[in-house]
Amino acid sequence: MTSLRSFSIAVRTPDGVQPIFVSAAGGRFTIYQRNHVAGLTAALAKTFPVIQRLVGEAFFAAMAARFIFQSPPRVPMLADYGADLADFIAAFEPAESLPFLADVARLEFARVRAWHAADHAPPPLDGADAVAALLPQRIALHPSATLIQSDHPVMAIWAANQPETAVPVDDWEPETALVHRSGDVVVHTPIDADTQALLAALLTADSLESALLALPNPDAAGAALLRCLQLMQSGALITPEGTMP
Amino acid sequence: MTAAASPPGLPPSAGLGLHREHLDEVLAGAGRLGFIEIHAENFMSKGGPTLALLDRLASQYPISLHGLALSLGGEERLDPAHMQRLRRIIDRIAPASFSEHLAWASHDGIYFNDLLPIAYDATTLSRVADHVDEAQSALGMRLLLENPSTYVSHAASNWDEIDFLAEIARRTGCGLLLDINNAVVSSVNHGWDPQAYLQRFPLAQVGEIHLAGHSETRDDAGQLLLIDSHGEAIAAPVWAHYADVIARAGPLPTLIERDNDIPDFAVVAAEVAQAAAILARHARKAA
Repeated sequence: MTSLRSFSIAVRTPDGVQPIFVSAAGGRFTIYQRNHVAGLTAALAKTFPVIQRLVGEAFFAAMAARFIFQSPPRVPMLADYGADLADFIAAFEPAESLPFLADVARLEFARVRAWHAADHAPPPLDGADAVAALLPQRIALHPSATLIQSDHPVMAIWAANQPETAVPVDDWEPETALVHRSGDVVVHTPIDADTQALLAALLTADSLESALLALPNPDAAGAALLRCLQLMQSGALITPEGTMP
Repeated sequence: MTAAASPPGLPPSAGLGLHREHLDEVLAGAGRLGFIEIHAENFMSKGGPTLALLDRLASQYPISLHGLALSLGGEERLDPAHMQRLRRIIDRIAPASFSEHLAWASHDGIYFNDLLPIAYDATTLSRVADHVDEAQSALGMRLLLENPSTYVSHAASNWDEIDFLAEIARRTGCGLLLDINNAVVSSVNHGWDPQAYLQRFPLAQVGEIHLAGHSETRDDAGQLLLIDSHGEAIAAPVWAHYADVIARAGPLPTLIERDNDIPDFAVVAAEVAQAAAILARHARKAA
């Protein structure tokens, strides 16, 4: 085993013995073990502040330590760290009593991801010609966009846990959220059943026109087109072949 | 020796490590900052407002681009994807300086989010020198290599830290970043004399100085141990060593680093002013 390999295993093994070829009397090696966990826990707390509020700092730290051990960062951009925390939470028995926690984590990660995602200009939307020109084009989510379908009121829970503008959860209803960047802000908007069906059609069809034609209710095509244009205007949808980044 | 060009470098003034808590003041031009230093890994977004901020900062200040994750001391090859991300920032804003650490941060695909100590031996020296050569050519600019703060040492080390740094600079043409707090932290932790360390440091190669705070504790054996916390005010001995170094070397670009327990801007601005006053005293003497 190379010396750094053995060092790296020891850093990630709390209460483990330090590598024998390191001279460190006085338990000094533990500083590296603590730094590793503390620094990454702080990074996760920055991305998942609502999760931390919901479970409390002590529980969050204990959960983060387990997660860091199981799923360490693979890239050095800490904003990217935690993509699989939601899945970890879903399988984390001590958090079982909070079944909505994993989806809230999905929402928080999607918001950070949206902030750092690539740019892509919206298609021109001014006038009937511009709209007609969209019909043959393929529609895709903006690089910043994530659709989160939850059995829980994820957005309401998120809003109820904003330190300065908390809004109590009124109705405990399932919510589907579309997270994306709109201009220079990250937004998440509720997606109703019709829009969800439209998105499913748009994202699998090879053109806007064929998506509209495939809708189960042909009378709804006008309203669906309007909704699609709104989503483009807000920055959630793009025509990947139609406009340059 | 690489053919990497030397950028014009940072101005010999006092600058500040950027934190979002101070962003409004920094963008408003408060505190007479001579330059700002940014952590490269915080600006590796693919798009969005972060890149717009990067452009804005670069239009207002000379930028010191400071990397944490290149893992120059690592046993594995440098990550080409990471070098590409660094290169993209360098091409975008043409920083006045790029610096990295004499440390390792990744192994076996895991990023440790820490600067871990290397062995000071001939094998490691060749490896680090190769990595510095490779980085300088991939990035198209000379880098400054920073002396580390360490808590343990490798039993294999048979080189003095300063000789090790100087030899890498000699082989690769890289410059050095002298972190005076790290020099004090490592000296106390390993029983070296910080005064002697700084006396021997090859100041002619130094392109930037870092000043930061440390915390004091005791290890399990009751020995004094300094932690490179970046969460406290800069300690009096660090200021005294800094004044000595500037008296000998003349004005050098000097960064105030505070990365944890970020205080109000006024607090760090006062440290910037304190460094600027020391620089001004010796600029006048030199003139």
